[in-house]
Amino acid sequence: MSSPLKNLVFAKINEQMFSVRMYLTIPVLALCIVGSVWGLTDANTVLPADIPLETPMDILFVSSLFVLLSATLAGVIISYDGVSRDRASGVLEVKLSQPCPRRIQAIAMLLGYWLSIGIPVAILNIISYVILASRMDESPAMMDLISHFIATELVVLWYVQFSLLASSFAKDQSSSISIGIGMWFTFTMLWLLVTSVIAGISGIEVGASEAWIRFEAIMDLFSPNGVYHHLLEARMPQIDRGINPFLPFLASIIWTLLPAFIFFNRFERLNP
Amino acid sequence: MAKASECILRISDANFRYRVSKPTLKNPFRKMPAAGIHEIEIPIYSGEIIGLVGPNGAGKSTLLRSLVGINKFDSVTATIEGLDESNPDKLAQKLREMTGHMPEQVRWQGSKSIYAAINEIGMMIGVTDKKLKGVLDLVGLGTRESESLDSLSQGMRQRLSLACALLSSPQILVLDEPFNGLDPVASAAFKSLLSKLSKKGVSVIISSHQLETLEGVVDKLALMHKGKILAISEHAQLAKLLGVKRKLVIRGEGEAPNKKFLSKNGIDEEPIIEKTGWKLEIINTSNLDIKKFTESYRINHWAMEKPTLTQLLVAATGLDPEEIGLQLVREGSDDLSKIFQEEEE
Repeated sequence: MSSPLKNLVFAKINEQMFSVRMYLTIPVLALCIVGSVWGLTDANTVLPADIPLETPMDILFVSSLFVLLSATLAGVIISYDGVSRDRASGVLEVKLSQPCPRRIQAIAMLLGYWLSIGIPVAILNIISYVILASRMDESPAMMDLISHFIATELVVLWYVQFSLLASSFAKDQSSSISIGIGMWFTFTMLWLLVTSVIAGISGIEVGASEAWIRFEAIMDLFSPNGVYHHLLEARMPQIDRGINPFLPFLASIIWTLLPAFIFFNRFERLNP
Repeated sequence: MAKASECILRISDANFRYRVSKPTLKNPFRKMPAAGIHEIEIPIYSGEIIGLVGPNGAGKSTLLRSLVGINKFDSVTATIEGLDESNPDKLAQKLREMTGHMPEQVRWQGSKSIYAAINEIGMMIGVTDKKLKGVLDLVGLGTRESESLDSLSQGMRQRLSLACALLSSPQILVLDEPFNGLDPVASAAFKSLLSKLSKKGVSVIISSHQLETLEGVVDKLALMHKGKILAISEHAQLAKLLGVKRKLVIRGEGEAPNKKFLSKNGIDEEPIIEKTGWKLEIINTSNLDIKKFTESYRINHWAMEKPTLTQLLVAATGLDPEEIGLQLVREGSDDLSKIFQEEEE
């Protein structure tokens, strides 16, 4: 990593780590990531619809719901005004006039915001793995933990990317947070509704049919949350939703590279 | 006076227009060219201070942003220290390397310290801690580096912006309305600093919509209107070039000079009645005998005044002050209350 890039990333992490937003976010993250694993590993826990909690991966999979609710929202909250705040204050103009290439500035911004939220999430995930191992009779497989860890960091990265991209379009703070939260809400809360509507239009009956399960799996590839679950399901052989197992990996590469590419190019042409 | 020195940057035939969103049903991403700058021709000599003046919306900030590589020219021919460059992308990068930019009214805010804020900029260009502190000392923030940005006054924020502009040791310093928010003492110190930098060979471009603020600071004036530089020269030469004469302003109290007295002395202008007395602005002073004035009326003050921005712009554009814009009408000799009165009638 080049020196200005490294320094800028560290400066951004340092700035965000000790921000008020982070102080407010950390307890929520701790409650959702660590607390959910603690609760789900309790022998008396019974989930509705007989969702199984037999293996460590089952626990991680179910706790991923809480990860999605908290970590992705934290990513949005931390980075929603990454560009727009500097633009509104005029500091962006100072930064863009520096000889440092814009691409370096954009990469530093993306990595800085991602790691700012990615590091606490990683630490809390590791704590939850320790809890998982200590409270279950069965130790989790290393590959399960690695895939869960990488998938969680990736989904946080995707939301940070969307937020920064939205922030680069927003001209003021209110539209910036509206776009960020709106996007989070759409993928987290409304995606099933979107899926159901498109299924209905396509003539697929919503329910437990094979066609619906396959259709839902395909639609999930267009949602970061869906791809996250696909990546976790790759470690759960009992789940087969009828799509090529290569597709979630392809989707995760696209979700990683495409928004980053758009953000970097947008930053190159950004007007303060 | 302009110094005889090396031309470090010459921008010729430069054009830039903003693109604004104009979505249609067929093309929701349609963008249309909007206002910008046109056919810009500006040579910048080493150690020279250029005042870029013009009314609001003349394109001053757009030109400055282009000169510091934020806006990439749509088309341009540039010569940097003798080497030609017409690729807008490469030129923008070169301009960023040779210029330091102080934008208009940066609202530095947040709980981080002055040092942390400038350090973030310093990291982009890899400046040493010693230099960073040196620049803070230079702008008078050395003793306040640990204070939070939220505690800064507008003047202090301006100083911080100037410090950021100086960090990369630029050959050309580009300042957008730098005197906004500065008190008279800070303003004088600022002008003195600019003079020192100029003597060290740093060229400075200052934009302002008020000519008076640039008095005694700039070597040349570039007159800008509707995205074009109409003329660029020393103030006196500019006035001469545009055929604008200096005027004698006489201020007095008590009875104002009457028409008979004025016509007898070959004066066509009429006195303007003010709250504290009267004012007479005379352009043609060839037949004037000031002694007669002092004998007949109570005169407090008289002085030759340089042409105002309004007069220069009116001369350069051939437009009426009203046509050029409300900003100029306010600044010029026309009484705004009179205009509103006429509208009511």
